[in-house]
Amino acid sequence: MAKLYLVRRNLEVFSGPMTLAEMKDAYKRMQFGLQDEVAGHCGPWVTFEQLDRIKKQYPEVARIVHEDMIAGWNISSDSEGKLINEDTKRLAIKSMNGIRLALVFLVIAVLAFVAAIYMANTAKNAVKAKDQLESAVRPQDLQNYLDRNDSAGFDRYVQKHAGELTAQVNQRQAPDEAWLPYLRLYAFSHDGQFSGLDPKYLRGNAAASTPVDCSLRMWRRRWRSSSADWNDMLAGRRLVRAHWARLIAWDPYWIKRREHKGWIGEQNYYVACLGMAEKALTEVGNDLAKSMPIEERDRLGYARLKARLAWLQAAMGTATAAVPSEEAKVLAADNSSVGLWTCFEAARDFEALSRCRRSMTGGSNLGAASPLLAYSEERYGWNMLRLASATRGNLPADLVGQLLQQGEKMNPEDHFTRFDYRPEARLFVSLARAGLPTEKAIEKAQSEFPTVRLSH
Amino acid sequence: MQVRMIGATDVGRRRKSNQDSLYYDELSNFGIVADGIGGRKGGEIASSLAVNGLRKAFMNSDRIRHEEVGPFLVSAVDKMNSEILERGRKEQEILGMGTTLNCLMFVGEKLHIAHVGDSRTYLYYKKHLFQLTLDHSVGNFLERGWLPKSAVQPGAKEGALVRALGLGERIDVDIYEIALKPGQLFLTCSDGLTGMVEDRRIAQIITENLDQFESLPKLLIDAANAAGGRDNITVLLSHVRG
Repeated sequence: MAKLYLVRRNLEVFSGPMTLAEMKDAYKRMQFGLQDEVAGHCGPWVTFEQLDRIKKQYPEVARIVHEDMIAGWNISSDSEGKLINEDTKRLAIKSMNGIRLALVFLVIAVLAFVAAIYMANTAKNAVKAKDQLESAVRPQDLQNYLDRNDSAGFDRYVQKHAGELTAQVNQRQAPDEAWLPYLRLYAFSHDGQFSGLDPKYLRGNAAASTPVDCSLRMWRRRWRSSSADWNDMLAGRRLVRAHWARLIAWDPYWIKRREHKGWIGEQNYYVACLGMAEKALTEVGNDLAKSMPIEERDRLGYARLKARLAWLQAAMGTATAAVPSEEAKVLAADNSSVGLWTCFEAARDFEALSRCRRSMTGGSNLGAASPLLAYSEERYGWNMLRLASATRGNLPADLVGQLLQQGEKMNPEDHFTRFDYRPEARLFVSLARAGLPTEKAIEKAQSEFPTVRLSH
Repeated sequence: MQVRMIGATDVGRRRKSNQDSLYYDELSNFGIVADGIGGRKGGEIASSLAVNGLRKAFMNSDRIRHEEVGPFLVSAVDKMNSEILERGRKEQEILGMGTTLNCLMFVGEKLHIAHVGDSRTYLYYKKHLFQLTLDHSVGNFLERGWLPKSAVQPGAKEGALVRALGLGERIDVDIYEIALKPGQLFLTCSDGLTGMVEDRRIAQIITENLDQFESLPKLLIDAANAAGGRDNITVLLSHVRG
């Protein structure tokens, strides 16, 4: 009987069990990526990227990893043995006597080298000990760099004291709020991780519906392993239960209404995570473009994903400019699920919002049987409420009626993104059901949920 | 897909009480294994609270669609975690109790597993055995770089739990998903089995006795007891038929 293997994607979804040939085929069909894990009968889980471990645990898998997978992603492997030149070998045998003499010199040289290293280390340790006595890292030092707009100095300081910082944090020598904003700023202006720190520390508990690990490395993995699913989600064929799919479904206004403690300036975990996701998607897109024509890559949904991420960044007020023109064109032509959500979110008045909705039931490529149709209705409702609270004046009766009708379809907990809309639902009750004037309704709901900016 | 389920739980040879809890309903294709921790009484209470709470949440829910399973399991486990903590705060003698959890939901053509702690779910298929769930242990978390070494107390065992219901206000649940195929057999068990019987031996017992599905849980429990039975042993088997 052929050996079987199981593949685990994103630590969540399994493919298989499958034979080696089936695995090779599944890889070609992009059902999983190098960042995913494989296990054999009673064996441990090993990621395909760890070629040395794969060779040790599953040597038969290593061959296809090396030949098909790594070659496909243009990753080099240095674990092959070095070739020995036969002529050199023969020459070496002839000069054995010379080698003995050389060995004596070598031993002397090694002894001298060790002595020199020892002396240098002693001197270095003395300097290090002195440094340690003098260095007491303080959050204020980092704040000073930020006040001077000296980001290079800020980075140098963090890099120099990284060990001390992680020790202080992990041993709880300082309260979390003292270092956390700076460590987050550093991590997410680089690759989204901080060596020695649990990713959960960087995320915190407030953004519980987001991925724990939003590093560039993890986003590369997520995008690479999911490219076969992009279109299913974008076209509204199914809600893909994965972090990347939830990310593109994020409601930027929900995020803006929330308070984000422990971050510097306008940053928050959603913004930081989005930034890493966007960067990683660009990298993965560039990789894909090496192995397929741009049009084919875009048919996978790449351009639409990029456009959505650009919109989210702009809507959350983090992009340096508005949505880039290339992405804006893609968004304007997009009548997929993501296109519709962007349309709702971009609407500045009820008429524009209604036009988007009409396209959902009419011109959109979301068929009547699409599982995303009901979900998109919910999103329409929340955007209606957003516009209602933005008017601040009294709502016309027909709009109240429409809101009431829509409210039946809105779930206070978004089952997909896991965003908690209870404060918004409270506002809806005051506004539409109790018929309070907008200003009063906001005030009432706000008093119950003081940390959520409902008038935002 | 038709799924046959059968399970059994045993106190083992060393413990005086059974802190494991087991529930399964073949008609609803739903099963739970929980292994209580934190003192004799506390462990029992925690595991039974988790199992009964999840069972009730499942029974009271409307028909759950495929895409709703994950969020349903996450919020149900979250709620149970709060209840365990709350109960511990009210009764001082069981303060600090906790439990592991493996909950199986077969929906349509897929199995969804909610997992916290070190109880495990395996897949057995054509004489191959694969461990599906990742133990939430110090050793595993250190190896994967999810836990900095400095955060581990000196002397902490590799097998010590990093996650379990009742350990803290926040609970992170792993949700796994696997497409069903006829012939698959899922083994969900407490560490009373896996701590005593090696994976290869488990696979061998299943291979040799697959035709006696009803007696398999007992055979696995017997093997754990024969190896010393140091802990409570719970086994739940779910066999996918065409």
